[in-house]
Amino acid sequence: MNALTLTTQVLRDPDSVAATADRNDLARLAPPLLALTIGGAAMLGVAAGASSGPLQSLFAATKLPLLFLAPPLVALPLVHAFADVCGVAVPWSRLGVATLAGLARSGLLAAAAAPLLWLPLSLDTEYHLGVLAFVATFGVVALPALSTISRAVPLGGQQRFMAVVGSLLVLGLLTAQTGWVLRPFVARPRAEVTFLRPVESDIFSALGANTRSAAGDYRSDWQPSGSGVFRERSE
Amino acid sequence: MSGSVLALTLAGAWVGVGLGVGALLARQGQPLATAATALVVWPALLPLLAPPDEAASRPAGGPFAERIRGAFAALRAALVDPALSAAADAATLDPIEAALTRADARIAAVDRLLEDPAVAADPASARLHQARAHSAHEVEEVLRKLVTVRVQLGLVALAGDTEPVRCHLGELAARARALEELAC
Repeated sequence: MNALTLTTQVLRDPDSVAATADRNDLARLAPPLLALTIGGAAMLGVAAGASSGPLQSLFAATKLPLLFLAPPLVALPLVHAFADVCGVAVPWSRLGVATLAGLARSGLLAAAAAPLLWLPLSLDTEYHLGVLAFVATFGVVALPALSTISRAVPLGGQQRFMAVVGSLLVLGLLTAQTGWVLRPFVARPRAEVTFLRPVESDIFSALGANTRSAAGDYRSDWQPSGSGVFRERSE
Repeated sequence: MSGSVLALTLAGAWVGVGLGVGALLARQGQPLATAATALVVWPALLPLLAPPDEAASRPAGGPFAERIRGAFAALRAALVDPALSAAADAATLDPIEAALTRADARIAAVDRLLEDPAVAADPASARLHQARAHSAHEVEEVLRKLVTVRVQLGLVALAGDTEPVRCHLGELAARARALEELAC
């Protein structure tokens, strides 16, 4: 299967890539699927960082593939275990290919969405709106990967629904917090360009503060509020 | 331990495990690209480290499985004989056996379908029966010719003329290819 055929299949029907996958398919498909994921995610990263210059683009293009890859790969054993506990047997090979195919599809969608994100960011959009646009774009392109992974869990079993919901919940939380740890993708205007910001608070507090700021509410609590182990450092 | 040290330690551990998995995959004979991929996505490639499940990777045996195995084992055993080994290369038998095994697996799949009374009762199943009979006939023919090849190997031992054996094996390879095309 050449790269173009694989790309078409990943876009049109990623489930069919994983449906009959065995260990030979896994060994054969892993390199091109990884390349599609990294390439596509990096393009979205370039677009996200473009408004703050080439250095921020480079940083974002390096970090965004990590954001795509790290959460599903870290959660893979958990997804397998969830399915097992719920009485659904998912072959490891199938789960591996489904994960990589789903990520490759999201990577390709990210590449397609890059110009759509770049356009508003290049028009001097307000910073907080830019962040929300980035989060929304990432959410839209990441959903197909989650969907492909969930469909790799075969039908049947006593509690398939629980296995799928539990897996998606963990994957969603991991992705959100990994994105927060790897920020900034869209740099603050006039802020020094940095590869990573200090870890403070969590994604949910930040999104709340960001949404308030985007709506023009800049009260004293507009910054993410620290909690738990981060409380002392951020306050 | 500060956050950045912790992050670097975790990243180093991830890449370290990836290096280990990649090295094991390379030692197993996996392509270099696959081994390099393990550096990043090693959790997805862990199944490749497990020993292959021969039973799972082999197509399910069909109605001719025993005869196919027996026929090729006998032919290979004959070709090991020093007096006959010049007649043909045993490796030429591999694609023929593989094609026959796949054809046998397809016939077995059709048989399983036809076991369902609903499928068997469908008027269109007559065509399926006909196609199954045709495939089975082709497999029978190849098996019969394998016996003929063994007879000719005996003639090679006496007369030394290897040409008929090569011709027959060429014909069998063509028939095996035709079996694959029938399935497409």
